[in-house]
Amino acid sequence: MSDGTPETMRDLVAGYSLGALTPEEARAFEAALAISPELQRDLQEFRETNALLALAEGRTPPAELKARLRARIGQAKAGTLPGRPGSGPASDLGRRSFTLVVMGAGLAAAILVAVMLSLKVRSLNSALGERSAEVSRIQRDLAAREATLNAILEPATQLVTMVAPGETPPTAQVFFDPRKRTVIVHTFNLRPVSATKTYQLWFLRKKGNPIPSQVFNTEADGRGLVQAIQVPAGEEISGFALTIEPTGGSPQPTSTPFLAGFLPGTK
Amino acid sequence: MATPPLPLPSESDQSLLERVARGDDSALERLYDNYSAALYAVAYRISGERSDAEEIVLDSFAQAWRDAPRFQASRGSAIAWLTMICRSRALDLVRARGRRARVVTNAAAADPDGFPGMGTAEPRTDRDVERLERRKVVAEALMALTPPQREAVQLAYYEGLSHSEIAERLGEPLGTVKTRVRLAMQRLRDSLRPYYAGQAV
Repeated sequence: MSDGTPETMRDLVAGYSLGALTPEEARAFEAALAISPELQRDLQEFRETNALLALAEGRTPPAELKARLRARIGQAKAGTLPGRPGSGPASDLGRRSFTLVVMGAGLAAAILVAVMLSLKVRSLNSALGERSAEVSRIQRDLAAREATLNAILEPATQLVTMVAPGETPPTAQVFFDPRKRTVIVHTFNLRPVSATKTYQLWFLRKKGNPIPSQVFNTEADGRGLVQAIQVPAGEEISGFALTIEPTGGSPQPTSTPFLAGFLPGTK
Repeated sequence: MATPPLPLPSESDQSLLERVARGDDSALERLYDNYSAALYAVAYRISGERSDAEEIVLDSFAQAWRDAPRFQASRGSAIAWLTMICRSRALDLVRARGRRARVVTNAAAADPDGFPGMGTAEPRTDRDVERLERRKVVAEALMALTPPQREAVQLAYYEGLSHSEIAERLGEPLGTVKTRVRLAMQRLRDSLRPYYAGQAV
């Protein structure tokens, strides 16, 4: 928080280890966890702490319980033990419901952004008539925004919304077009960083280090829009993260991601 | 700031789990000998019923038997992994039965400070003595928290409440509860760090 920018994922580690986060917070944390050795280490420590807390109670299991375990494992070896917990219909139903909720939220957010951009397009059209000197600039702007709008409205476009904790949380919406392999980043409540720093987007992979991508800064009101970011050919990405890096960006993250999220169906 | 690496889980735990992954049930029994008391204690505290605690412990070790090939020592110790399985199963059971309120009542009646009694059984073996000493350390760490911190951690740990559920239960602002849980867990981590991992209890 040295320059007032968000750095809150570490604040979530203890709550995550206890299962006390909301599903949205947990997903964001897991995305950041995937690329942050610092968070992985923090989580390991809190899990060890949780294990020690189990010792707070003084109880001894009955002696015959071990024999029952032996019998249970005997059944498992014989192939008669019931299937893995959590693999049944109820669990699958919960997962499907969660997916539907996420898809619904994503669609609503996409429509909202589409409406906002549509209004902006209309405003720009009006400006064209009044300021002829700016016509060409505005036309270029208009074309870019229309391209953005079209990209967002592409049926295949996927939305990942990344929200930090807090009352006016820094938020980023990442629109990913898997056919064109392009990304649009839209931020709000994200305070601009100082001249020596930059925000940097990362593409998360299922395995391996994150892929460095676009560097950018935001406007004074916390808004930012970065378009036509190309995903490297041949890379299968599973999500996105934002970090604060030295100006110019870094080949590997040098700070803990403060926003992160997975693409639907990849986690 | 650089911090020293966490101690690796003990070789014996790691190799026991490797043997379990290969289908060696005697290795699972060794893990049971080492850790069943800790798991039973937490299962009993969460479920509030002896028979449920027994089933939770059996289910936890049965899951360990199935999932041992997926255990990654680099992510933590065997007891951390087993405790996570056991606590998750116990909380799932309590939620499924809608029994949470009664557990709180029982626990509060048995232990007004929420966290632990020190147990009453006389130690009989070296392992018992070690377990009692470890429990004393944990109890002291818990008692070093402020009562509101202890209560918040208790609600999260033993009842599986989310931050917002804790805030609602206590009538406190969400931000206050989040900070309280975080600071409490950080204090516990700092107190208990010397006792991490790999030591049978």
